[in-house]
Amino acid sequence: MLSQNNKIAFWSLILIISSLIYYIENIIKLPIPFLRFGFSHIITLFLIFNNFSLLEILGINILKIIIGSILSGTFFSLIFYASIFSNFFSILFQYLLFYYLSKFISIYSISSAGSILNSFLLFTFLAIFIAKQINILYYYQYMYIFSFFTGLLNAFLTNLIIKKIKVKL
Amino acid sequence: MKKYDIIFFLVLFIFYVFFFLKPQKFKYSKRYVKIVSPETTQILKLSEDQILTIKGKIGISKIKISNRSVEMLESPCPNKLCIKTGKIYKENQIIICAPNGIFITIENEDKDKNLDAITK
Repeated sequence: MLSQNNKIAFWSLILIISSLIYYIENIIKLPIPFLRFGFSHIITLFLIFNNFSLLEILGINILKIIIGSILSGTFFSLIFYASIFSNFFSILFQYLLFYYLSKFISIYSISSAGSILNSFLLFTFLAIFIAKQINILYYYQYMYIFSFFTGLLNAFLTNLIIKKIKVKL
Repeated sequence: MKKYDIIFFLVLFIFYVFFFLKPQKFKYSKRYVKIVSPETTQILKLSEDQILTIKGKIGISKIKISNRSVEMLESPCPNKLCIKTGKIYKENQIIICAPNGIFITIENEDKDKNLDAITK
């Protein structure tokens, strides 16, 4: 068991690490728009697999997006709403998968399914509110494969971290 | 990795095939070839393999349709630009043989859905 001060230190460390990763990823522009590895997702997976509650994980993620978007200057823009929307539902989905199916499937499946859902929600948000064209969803078929593999990569990296670090609050 | 991971990945793959690979085949089937020569205009299916001989301004050209693509085999023109164009298979690609007056394009029946506008 950790003391109250240690808990505060732990959560602030987690928040700073994830929002920094989020910010750095927003700066680096890949050649194709909306393409991102989503390394800040590693923190979320790490929290899910250390049996933290859904409220804590969602809180950390929403705070991460708020801080990251204030730093990169996209606060209250449409992209900010899109990322909050997609993050919320993909984390909920992954948490439910972990809660009910973690006996059968490993971190790899959960992570890849979550990243596929995340990019799908991002694209539907884009198609409805920003581009106002459903045709954009054709582009999603390449995104599907890409996000599947980024999900696998994130799961692999998280696995390495989970083996090294164990947290109990 | 656990036992059911592979089944889960298979489900994801089936999702992909079901949603994205099916409509594309449907799209291909609506394409056709339009061949304009000084005498006639022909509209042909891309799916039927054949070799056509068409009379132009200065001689006879041979056109081959195979594997859902079109190419010019022989032409009497001096530069042979139409033969160098090679195979065309996408929408709105075009082979032009100006000396012989032959134009080959691939068009789509419902092109209004895929394009905003066409300039000529």
